[in-house]
Amino acid sequence: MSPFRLAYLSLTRRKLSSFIALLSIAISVATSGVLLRLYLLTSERFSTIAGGSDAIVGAKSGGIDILLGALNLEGDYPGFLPQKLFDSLEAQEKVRFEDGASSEPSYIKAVIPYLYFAKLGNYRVVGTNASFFDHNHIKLGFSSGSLWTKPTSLVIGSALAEARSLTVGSPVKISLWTGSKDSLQGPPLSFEISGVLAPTHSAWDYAAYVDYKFAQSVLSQVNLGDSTIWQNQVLNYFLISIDPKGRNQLESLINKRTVGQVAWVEDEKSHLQKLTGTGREIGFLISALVMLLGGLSVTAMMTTRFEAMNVQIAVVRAIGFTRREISAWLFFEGLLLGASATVMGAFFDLIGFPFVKNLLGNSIPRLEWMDSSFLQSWPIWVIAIVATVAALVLPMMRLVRQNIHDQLKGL
Amino acid sequence: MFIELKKVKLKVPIENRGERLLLKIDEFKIEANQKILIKGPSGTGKSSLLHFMAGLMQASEGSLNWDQSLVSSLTDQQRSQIRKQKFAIIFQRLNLLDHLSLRENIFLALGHSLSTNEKNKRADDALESVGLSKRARDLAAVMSLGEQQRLAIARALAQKPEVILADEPTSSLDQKNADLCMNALLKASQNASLVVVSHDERIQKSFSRVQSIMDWVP
Repeated sequence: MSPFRLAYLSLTRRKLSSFIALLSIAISVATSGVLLRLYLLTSERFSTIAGGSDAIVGAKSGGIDILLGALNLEGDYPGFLPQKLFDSLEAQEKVRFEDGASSEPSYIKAVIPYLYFAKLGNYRVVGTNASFFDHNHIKLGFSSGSLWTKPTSLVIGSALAEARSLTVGSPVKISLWTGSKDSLQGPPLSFEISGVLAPTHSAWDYAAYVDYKFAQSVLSQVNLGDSTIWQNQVLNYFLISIDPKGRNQLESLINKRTVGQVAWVEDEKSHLQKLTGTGREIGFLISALVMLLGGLSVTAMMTTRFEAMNVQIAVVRAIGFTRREISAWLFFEGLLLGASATVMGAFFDLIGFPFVKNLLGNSIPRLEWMDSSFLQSWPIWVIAIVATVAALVLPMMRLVRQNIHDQLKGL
Repeated sequence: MFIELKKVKLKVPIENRGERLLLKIDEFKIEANQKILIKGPSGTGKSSLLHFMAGLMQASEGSLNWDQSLVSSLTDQQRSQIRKQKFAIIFQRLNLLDHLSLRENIFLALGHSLSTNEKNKRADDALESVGLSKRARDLAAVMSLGEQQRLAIARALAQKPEVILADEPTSSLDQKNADLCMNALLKASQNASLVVVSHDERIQKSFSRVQSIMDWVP
């Protein structure tokens, strides 16, 4: 009987102990794999934040929420800002307040409207204007087509075009999205693609863009409930480019005198890095510990299994199996068990990761934006196989020193 | 094949008290095809002697020869190969791998060079000889001690060895099965040496040469 056959029978005939070992190793592999993938994803968490503006004005909330909501297309539907405030900033008009104070925002270099109003599948549709594509820091070029020429045409990001195989001229249907629960269930709107943006490797690649005036006209037909007192004359964000000297004035104007709040892009990015940096380090530490524990548990399990086989090994040595043949038997048994458990663990990883990801919600980027293939868990698989093989070291050392006589006599 | 022991001293460790001399054998030779019973009471070193003759343990002093080969000069690999080709060993217990079937336990001892048909034929014939042919596919784990002993004898039969070393092969068997197994052992050793160590007086009549182990107890 060959060592491989012996290993195979040893595994398949002792079903319960093999299954427990298999399951334990598989769970270690899956847990470590999921943690590793989460760590890799969280490391990439904010790499898609779009650039192009110095500040964002949004409805009052946390600065980080505003940053991610506007420049990383994340979070729930944001609150509204009045169109009039945008108009005043855009025209750099002198703003007068009821208490007699006034502000003249001449320090603003550019202000861009930004209004979510629909979704194309899972991708957000942003209402904006032509200045969005040619603002201060970034010029968004077109890989094909051009800006919309009629209200029912839209521009799409490169990743969206690729993901849904869309080109200039393609008809698409979009669903209203205004934050209310049933807004996505209304009748879809028909659009035609007028242009596809060149890749920016940022969130802009994953959105569609229409004229915000048209977006507002659509909102006028929707019951926005008590989320706005300005009817459809609303926006979600203003993207602002500003003369640095006007920073305090803008903050004073927006934060103290309006329903809006200014989020400074670079400041909020720094806050994010500080917040997530610690989390990532802890995450890495936990991942490393789980991997270490996984490897050790695999080794312990295999060592225990082989320890229990001492008498069997003595019997087969007594009837003429050489040490080399027995080593091959143990090696094949470990390899079969390790490889099977790794395959099972990878499968658990594959089916379990989306659930874990959903539990974590917005803590990690959207999967469609990131490479989160379960193949990223390969280091865990290698560790599991190596740990299985490493587990053979002790039994093989014992094999060399084994006293067959004592073993068979039960001494 | 002959086995020759010269000036052998077998010692066993005593917990925390060094070693105790178990057997002292000046000279003992088993010629090819000889049938020898080494008899003696329990605890006198019969199993140790058998293990020594099989090359599974070393003596403190003296030499063991398999034909012209000094066993202590052979590598572990060489000893294993010779054991597999020329010896069949039946232990008092712990003979089998529990998770293998009867037939597979026999295959375990057969060389890789045999064809599957030949292996099957040898296994079936051997199981028939010890009355276990109907249980060829059962796992060894579900067999009684007596049945396990018969299977160990069947494995020795299938090997067609030059030397059969058997340690208390009938101790777990009733008279009927003891006779069955002794007949099977004698049949298997028609062209082989047979060394049986036992305290079972019932089997003495089957041997041409009987050696008392007490002659070697110091």
